[in-house]
Amino acid sequence: MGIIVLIVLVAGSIAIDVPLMWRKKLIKEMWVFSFLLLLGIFFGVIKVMHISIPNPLGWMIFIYKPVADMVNVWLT
Amino acid sequence: MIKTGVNKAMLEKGKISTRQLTILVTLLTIGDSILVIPPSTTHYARQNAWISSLIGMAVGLLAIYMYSKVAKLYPKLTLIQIIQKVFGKWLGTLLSLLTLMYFLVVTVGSMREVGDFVTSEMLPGTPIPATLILFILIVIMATRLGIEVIGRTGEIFTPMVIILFLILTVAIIPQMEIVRMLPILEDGIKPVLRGSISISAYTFLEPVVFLMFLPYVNQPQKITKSLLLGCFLGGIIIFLTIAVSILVLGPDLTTRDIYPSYNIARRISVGGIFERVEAMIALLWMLTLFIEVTLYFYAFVLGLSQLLNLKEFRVLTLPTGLILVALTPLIAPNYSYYNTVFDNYWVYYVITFGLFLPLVLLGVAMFRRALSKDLKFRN
Repeated sequence: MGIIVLIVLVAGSIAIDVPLMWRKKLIKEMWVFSFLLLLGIFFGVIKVMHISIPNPLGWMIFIYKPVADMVNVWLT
Repeated sequence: MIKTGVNKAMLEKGKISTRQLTILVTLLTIGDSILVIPPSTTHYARQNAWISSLIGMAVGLLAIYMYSKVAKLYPKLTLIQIIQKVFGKWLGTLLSLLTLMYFLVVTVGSMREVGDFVTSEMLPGTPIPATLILFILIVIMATRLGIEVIGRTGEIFTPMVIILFLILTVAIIPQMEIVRMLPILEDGIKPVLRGSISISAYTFLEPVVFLMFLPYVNQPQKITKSLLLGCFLGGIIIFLTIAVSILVLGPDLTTRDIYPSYNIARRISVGGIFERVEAMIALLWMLTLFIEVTLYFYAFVLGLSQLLNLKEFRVLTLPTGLILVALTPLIAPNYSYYNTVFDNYWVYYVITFGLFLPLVLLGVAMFRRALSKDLKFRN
């Protein structure tokens, strides 16, 4: 079910915007569009196939943990 | 005045009025805070959370004043262009990418709240992506139509938001008890300050996104006033929400409940006739959250195309929407995980970009200006 939804979404985005860019010869836009679409497909496949990856927010916890611990000690 | 250089043909040609700016700031400040912020503030500040909200509002007004100062220094540039101008090519590109990622992460977080709320309270059993796809399609439509349409949408929604909020607040007055707010400051000021960190970061520093839209305001000289007014009005609504939550539910129930203001709307019963109005607060929340997600989404797409010198930003909306829908369930396995991350780490992430980045921009710009004056004086 999930994979069908993903395919429909990807096909829909390509069908709506690519002809427009092709007609106006927006080559650079096409590259950025493809890159973002590939990134979206990548995350979509991970979600649909239930592949377990480390949480994308892990870096936020990693960076802000010292600050958070310091503030918690100071203000409680 | 610092010269803004060659101003290329602007990607966005729309203009918004100062009144629309005020309304958008108010709606963004209310945003998701009206449902999500009461439990996380009362968790630390207990019955004194209303003092935290006042402290947060003071911080927010100062921050908003700072944003308008930054915008005055570079009146024709958006935040991404300002960063590139101030920090040069390499450092500027790096910082711009980080800022764009911040916009994306805030959008993902807000979308996560939409999904959780709709599935847990209104449509149990619906798959979360179904809600998200419908929501993001409307956001994409608004973004493609441009800033003018978003401004007018805000104007149309505002009477509705105010009337719904007033009905909810007035109808619950019989169930308030002032004793739930006592004793005031029994544990000293420290827990109140800790609570005000959550509220100031999550509610009052998010208007940093308006640095992306200030060049499109039609009367630049009135920006400061309308920004401050918008933040003040939003702050009053948040203050009332928190105060009502404490007065009706008390600090314990407010902390344990995921959505206290939704729970309060459930308790409304005027004469046994006026009941079951919680769908109204859901509607109110959907309207304000739509504005918040749209503005952040727009800022991401517009900023990315300005960074890469694209001619057209609307074509990037659909793939970005796909990324958002796919990324939203991935950032947190469940609500309590999201809540822990939000309470402990997310707030500092927002402070980094909402407070420190504009402060550094302002400092560097002031320093450069003083330096150039000095050089001129010597020559």
